[in-house]
Amino acid sequence: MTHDEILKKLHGIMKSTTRENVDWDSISEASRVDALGFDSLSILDLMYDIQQGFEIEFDPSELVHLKTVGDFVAFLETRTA
Amino acid sequence: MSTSTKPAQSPWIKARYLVEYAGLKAALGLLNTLPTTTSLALARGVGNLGYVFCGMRRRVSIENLRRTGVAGDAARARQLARASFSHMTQLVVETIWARYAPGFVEKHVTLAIPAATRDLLNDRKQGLLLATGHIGNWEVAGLAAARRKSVVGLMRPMSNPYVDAMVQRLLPPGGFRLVPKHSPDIGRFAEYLREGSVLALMIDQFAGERGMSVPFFGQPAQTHTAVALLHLVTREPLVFGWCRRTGPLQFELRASEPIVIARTGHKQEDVRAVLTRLNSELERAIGEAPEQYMWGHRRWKPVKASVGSGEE
Repeated sequence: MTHDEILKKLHGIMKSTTRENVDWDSISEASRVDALGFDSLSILDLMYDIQQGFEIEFDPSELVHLKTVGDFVAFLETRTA
Repeated sequence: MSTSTKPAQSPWIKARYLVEYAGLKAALGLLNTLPTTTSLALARGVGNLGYVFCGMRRRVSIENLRRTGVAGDAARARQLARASFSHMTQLVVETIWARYAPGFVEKHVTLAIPAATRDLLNDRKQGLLLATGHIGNWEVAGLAAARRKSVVGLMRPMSNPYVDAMVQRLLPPGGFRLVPKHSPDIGRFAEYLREGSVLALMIDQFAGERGMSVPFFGQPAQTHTAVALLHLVTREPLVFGWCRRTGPLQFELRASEPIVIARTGHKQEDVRAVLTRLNSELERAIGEAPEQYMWGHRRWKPVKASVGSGEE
């Protein structure tokens, strides 16, 4: 998958998972994930959907250092390559 | 470590918190001077008073006991509700002793755990999800598990920051930590599991409209989904455990066989499968000791809408 394809797919998953009212047009790769309504509990929904949507397995503790949408995209690039 | 450091804004609220804190501290000081049997008798007395004077909680308890069918008639419901009040106040006293008294777990807790679960507890590198409810003495359960490996309990920070800080200070040194449920640190829970800790979660609190509606005693109850999602996402083993009081200051730590729910790719169904299984384990535990359950919680509150698997 290309960078843009991953970003688009991730965007869609985040949009369907979060419960916050987010202005998605203003979201960039620099946007922080916690600002999109994800915290230590609600991120679990997102993890399930990412694992399912991208058909990949990962240890969720690998996400500890990911802070932004761009960090997630970079992580997924390495896993879907 | 305190889970809540935000000071009270209003001077009146701050004063109320300080009064509550001082009262609790005085009560703890008193407990330390009394013999065990006296303290437990006092606790039972306070529980009985609570049953008489806390009308709303009494009504909820009786209603829940009737609703679930655990009490067949009104007289039995009243009897169990009163015993439940008494159980809760004893739990406070027992917990203080359990935290302070050296060797409490070794002297007062026996294990009734299947071999497979015991192996998981004894393996210090293996993460473990422990689901439990407000049944028996859950504080002693956590302390008993912490004798085997590090335990991290998720808690909602108390509104009174002074009491919250005191609770944290009272934790015994060693392997038992309480951490707030919500944190911006997104990978935190997975990291606890990876370092080989037990991650303990309560499964029987009303989860509101963001929980999932799952049968509990045959009636839909809004249920938190975190434990199910953690199991499904991390694939770490999951057990249901609880600590039954078998006599004065005597407990038995019980646990299920490891529960494994395979992922189907349908999140809602997978989460429901885990939660349904856990609710049945809790129902079984309650059936064994209905007087040791916290019946005063409004578990079956209606919600406007049930929306998926999200957490509170």
